[in-house]
Amino acid sequence: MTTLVAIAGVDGSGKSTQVRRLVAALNDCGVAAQAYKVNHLASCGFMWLAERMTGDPFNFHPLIPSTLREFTVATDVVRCYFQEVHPLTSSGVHVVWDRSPLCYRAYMRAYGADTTWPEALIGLIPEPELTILLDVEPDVAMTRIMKRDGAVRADHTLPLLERAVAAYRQLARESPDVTVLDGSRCEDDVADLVAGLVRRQGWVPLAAPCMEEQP
Amino acid sequence: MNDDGCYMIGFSGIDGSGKSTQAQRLADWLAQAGADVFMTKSRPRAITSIFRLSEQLCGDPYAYHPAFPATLREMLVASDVEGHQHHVLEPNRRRGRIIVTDRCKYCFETYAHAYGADMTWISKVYDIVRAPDLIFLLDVPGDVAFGRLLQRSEKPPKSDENPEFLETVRQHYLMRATLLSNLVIVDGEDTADQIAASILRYLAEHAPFPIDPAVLGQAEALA
Repeated sequence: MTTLVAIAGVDGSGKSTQVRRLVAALNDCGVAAQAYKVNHLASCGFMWLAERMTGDPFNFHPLIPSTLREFTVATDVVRCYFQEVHPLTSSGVHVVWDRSPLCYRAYMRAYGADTTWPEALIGLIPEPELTILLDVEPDVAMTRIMKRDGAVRADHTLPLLERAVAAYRQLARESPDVTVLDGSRCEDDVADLVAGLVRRQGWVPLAAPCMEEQP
Repeated sequence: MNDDGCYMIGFSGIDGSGKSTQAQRLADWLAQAGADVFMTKSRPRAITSIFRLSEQLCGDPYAYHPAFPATLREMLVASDVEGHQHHVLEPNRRRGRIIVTDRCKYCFETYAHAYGADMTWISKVYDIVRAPDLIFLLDVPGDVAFGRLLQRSEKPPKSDENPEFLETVRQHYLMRATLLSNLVIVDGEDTADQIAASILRYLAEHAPFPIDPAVLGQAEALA
């Protein structure tokens, strides 16, 4: 059986780093695993539109109605899942999803979209076997984003991060399948915790040293 | 021709009007005449998720109208059209080719109007999509188009492909056609050969690129 693991969290929570580390750890154990991130073919049109209207592709919120945007984002997610993720898992590859249905649900709430139809679309995707939420305080995420990107994008604001963190936490409380980890810990600690969670899924031999949790 | 040497010809009309047939014939004739021609059609990408949702909720991938809000659906179509321009049309335009498009933004905008979508943001997306230099509107009555759709055994009519709705879309096309100076209405009830010859004849008289008289002669002989 192959598995879909999702790593979720706000921008700046360390998702991509942990996805990369988990895939490397699994590969080191001889497990066929691959990172995956949605290709936003349709929703990037909003960035072109925002750029045309304001000169800044990231200035789409609140300029363009969030329900239209989030519905379009959801179609990208559904298309990518069925055209790319599902074929991978069906062919025996474990997929570590950078972002997840949980992410898109959290952000559609954070942006204040009418979630009726975006949720209907996201609901087409089976829940991952394991969803890990890297929980960080908004100011921690903001500090990391500023360090990483230099300039802060128009869609990276503290109020949005606060709403996104609140939405994630609410959704995590409602979803027994979501495991919350403290994403503000150091990268190595988080990587060990993630590895431990995955190890307990039974993907790899329990004795595999590369997946052992550090004391 | 445009400054970049490109010329784009779009085919439009209701489903069953013969767009694909005529776009392919024109592309073939132009290629035979030695033109560097590129034929294309906007591929549905985002909208495929709606087909999937429609299948799950209604048991029919094409029962999306009026089950799902037209504004959301048509925004997806607009996103697909925008993506087609960005990834397919623009690279070929930059190569200075003659582009023949089976459907164009005029088609999709017309359908969005006919579905009753709120066009506020949909129009903003279409505003950044380049219009063809010349549009052929293949005009056929809704019942004629529906009769043709019924004959396509490989592709049964969708839930919104009925004579009444097709006629509604046709009227939207004709109304919007009065606003466009680069649109030519073609009688889509003629035979395919007659339509192909009349389109080639029009281009021979009006297009900013030459049409080989021998090729035009062949098309007219078939008609």
